[in-house]
Amino acid sequence: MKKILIIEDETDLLEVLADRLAFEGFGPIKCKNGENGLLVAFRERPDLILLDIVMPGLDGLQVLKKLRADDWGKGVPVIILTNLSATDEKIVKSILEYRPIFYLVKSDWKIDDVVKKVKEVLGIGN
Amino acid sequence: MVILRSRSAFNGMKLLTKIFIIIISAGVISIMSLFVLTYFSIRPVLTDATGENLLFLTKETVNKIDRLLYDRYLDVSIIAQEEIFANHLAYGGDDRNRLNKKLEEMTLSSGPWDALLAVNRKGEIKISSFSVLDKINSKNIKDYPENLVAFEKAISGQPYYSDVLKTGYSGKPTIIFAAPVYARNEPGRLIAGAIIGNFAWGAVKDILNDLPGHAELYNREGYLVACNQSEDDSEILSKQFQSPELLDKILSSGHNLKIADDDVYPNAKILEASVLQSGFLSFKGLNWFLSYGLPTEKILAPSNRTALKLSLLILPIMLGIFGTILFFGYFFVIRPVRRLTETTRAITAGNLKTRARVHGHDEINELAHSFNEMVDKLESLDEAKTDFISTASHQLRTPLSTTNWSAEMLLGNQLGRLNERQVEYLKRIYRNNQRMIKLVGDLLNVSRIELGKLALTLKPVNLVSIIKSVLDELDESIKRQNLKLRKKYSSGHLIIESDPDILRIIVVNLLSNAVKYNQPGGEIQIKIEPTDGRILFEVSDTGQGIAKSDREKIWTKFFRAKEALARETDGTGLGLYITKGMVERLGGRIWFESKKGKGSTFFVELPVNNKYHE
Repeated sequence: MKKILIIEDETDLLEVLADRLAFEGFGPIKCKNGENGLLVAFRERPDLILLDIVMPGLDGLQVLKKLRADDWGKGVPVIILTNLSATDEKIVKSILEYRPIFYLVKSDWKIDDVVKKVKEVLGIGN
Repeated sequence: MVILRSRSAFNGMKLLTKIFIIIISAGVISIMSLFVLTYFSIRPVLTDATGENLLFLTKETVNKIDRLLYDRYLDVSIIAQEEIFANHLAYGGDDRNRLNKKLEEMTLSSGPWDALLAVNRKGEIKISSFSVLDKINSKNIKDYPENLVAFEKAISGQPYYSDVLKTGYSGKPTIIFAAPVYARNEPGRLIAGAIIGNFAWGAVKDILNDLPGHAELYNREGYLVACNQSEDDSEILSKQFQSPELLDKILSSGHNLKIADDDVYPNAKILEASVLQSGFLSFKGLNWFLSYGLPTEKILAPSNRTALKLSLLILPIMLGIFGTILFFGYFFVIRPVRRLTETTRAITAGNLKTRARVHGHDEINELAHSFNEMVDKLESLDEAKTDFISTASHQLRTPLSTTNWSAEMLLGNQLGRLNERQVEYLKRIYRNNQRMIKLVGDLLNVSRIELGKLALTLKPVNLVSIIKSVLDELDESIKRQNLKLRKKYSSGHLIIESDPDILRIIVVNLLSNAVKYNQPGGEIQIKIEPTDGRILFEVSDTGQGIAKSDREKIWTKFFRAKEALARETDGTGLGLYITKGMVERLGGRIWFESKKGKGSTFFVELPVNNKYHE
């Protein structure tokens, strides 16, 4: 079973995503903040990380930076889930430098399509 | 009117030009004033000084002439006392040639004499200075009337001198001097003859020639005796002094008189009439007067020359001063101001990071410093705007996406089956959530457009693939309404340089409008026409068309035409406003043509570098 780490400070969203991924047969791990997320990431070494950007404390950029600084971390696939528009956020541009495998705006995506993307990244057929 | 016009012309010039004009004008006015002031203040001083000078000059001239004539008188008297002449005249002799020579020597040494003659009692000219001999025809003094008078006087024992006579032996004006020659060794002082001298008139003229200006010698009858203005002597004793009243005044004044009389000598401002008072001439009642006029130009010539030299000297000095002022003006005022203007332009163009250079503490640098502070404020305001947009978008979208996915989950299969009515209501929730999401997106675009925060990232973009992807998204609606698609563009790749996100929004808006406001079974036509440096993108529908009254309003925020509202279609009324803003951001134009009941065509022209290839 593939382990997927979800780092998202919005509880409701976190729950919904985790539920859905569980239904799809994945093993979702929920983290509400960046610090916790990092610890869990290094401990659990998930197959995929879904990372929010805007969070109190350590934000998504800092998490990704620290992740990529690690030997294992630099290779783990990360999908950025955010509600920031790419066009007007410097932080988004900075994040892209740390090579997330994908970037999507939550409110523009159906949850089904998010699942599709996850499967695609993990190389799982339909 | 002229003043107003030239004032506005002046205002339009550059600062440097203005300063230049002011300085040059000031300089010119100063020089001219200097000139005028100097000239007119010096003139009276000069003329006065010259007047004093002239007074001295005329006195001197008078003295010279006086001495000249007195010396001639003495000469004759001395010659008359030469024994050799006395003896020859009294007793005759063979030494005539020798005596001629002697007399000639005396002519030369005592000169200026036209002729010296020694005449005996009978009137026979016995001895003469050589040069005269050739010219005289008769050897008797009686044949020369003017000389005869002198002779007779001398013979009677009186030394004699004449007034100016028109001609002597030489045909020139002359004065005749005569002195008696006494025979020696004779009791009772017997007069043997006389020495007669014809004075060479040129000598007086020479003295007058030394004077600058116009000098004339007149006798007391007012006849010209000598002058320094003409070469010939034709006017001597014929020309009269022009003003009889003046003549009287001069003669009665008895001393030097300064007269300014333009009529006598045109252009002469100083007229010195000096009555010959001292010495021989007035003593014997000759009473000539010297009328001396100096033309004004001559007086002022030196000062004019000086003025010219002065202004030529001043010119380089003034140029030096102008140059320095301009130089400093440029470096301390104009250049910093120009630089500040350039900085302002850079900031207006959008580069808020620019700051003006501050070098010191003078007024201009203070301006630059407070300008920089202002830009700091602008920059922070600008950042605040950006922050607001991103914060607002994020805060609004977060709960919306949660609701979205929650509804999707419920509508999915995993949480258990729902009855039809529950599904219906859930769909309603979902749909309206979608509306809000769209509205938030639209509002964000509107604020980006209005706050000028629409960033452009130009890339090579495939327009055809954008259109294809949008059509895929709209596929369901297109099929539902049974719309026919007509594609009037080559299926080749049309790569243009543009911003993909912005271009996509434009395509989405136009195509979704074409679907939304179409008739069932209608048609959508998409046309792309690439031309020189531009592309023309057309979307046509067969919908209701747009009413004439709505033509302008259709571009405004939240506007929905009656027909659109009547259709009960969803819409925020922001679509066309955003599309227009985005087209304009890409530097293009958007317009439409519409026929009521027939349909509408929207045109978008974008200036892009396009490469069209199959």
